[in-house]
Amino acid sequence: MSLSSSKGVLTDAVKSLRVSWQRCNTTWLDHNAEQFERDFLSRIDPAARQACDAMDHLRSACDEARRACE
Amino acid sequence: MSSPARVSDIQALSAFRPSLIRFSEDVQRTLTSPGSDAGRVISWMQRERLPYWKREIRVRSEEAVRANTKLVQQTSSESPRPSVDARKDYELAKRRVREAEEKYEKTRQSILKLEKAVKRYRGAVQPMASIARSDMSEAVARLDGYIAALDAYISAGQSHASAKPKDQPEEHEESGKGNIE
Repeated sequence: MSLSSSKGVLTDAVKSLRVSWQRCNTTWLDHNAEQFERDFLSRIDPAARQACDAMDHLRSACDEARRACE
Repeated sequence: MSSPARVSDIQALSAFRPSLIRFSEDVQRTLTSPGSDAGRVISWMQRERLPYWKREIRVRSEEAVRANTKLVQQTSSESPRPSVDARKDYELAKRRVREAEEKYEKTRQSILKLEKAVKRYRGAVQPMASIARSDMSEAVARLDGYIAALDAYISAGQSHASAKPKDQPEEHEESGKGNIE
């Protein structure tokens, strides 16, 4: 997996989990479901955005480094 | 205080379980990969580019020495004015040495910069890595707990129903509904 594809894989993984959760959440609607979402799923989006930004930065740092020494 | 469970399909909870596991695996793999890629770039720079520019400094310095020798020879010969070509050759050779030295230094600094970038990357993806590794394991365990509790509740309801006379109505309308906490 290359630097460029990692961001896509991460984004797809997050989307896929969200879709699965929405499907599950249509039949599971109690306090436990809310608690589950709060505890395990709500932090995913901000962390994924931060990870994607970090991937972008690392990718440009790699490109810059390659250019610098050629 | 516990609240009633509202689950119309326990299968949906079971079906969600593999999604959590897949997410955990995909994310852990994808977060490791950029760091490894950058590590390969660093390694390539250390093993190939840095020695290449070091070698170029030596080769180009030798060329500059030769160009200078030619220039000096022309100056000290019968004609005290060296040829324009010899002067140009020497200037060019000196420029090429400087270029190689700059490239060497730039490569060296780029390695340090990229090493720092990898460290920053690892710090920035730490929250996501922690979610993928720890939170998802915990999520699967908790989900398993809910599924087990709902299964137990339904089984208890079925045993209770089979123990009752046939004309007596069920206590709960829907399986999986009720208080499981």
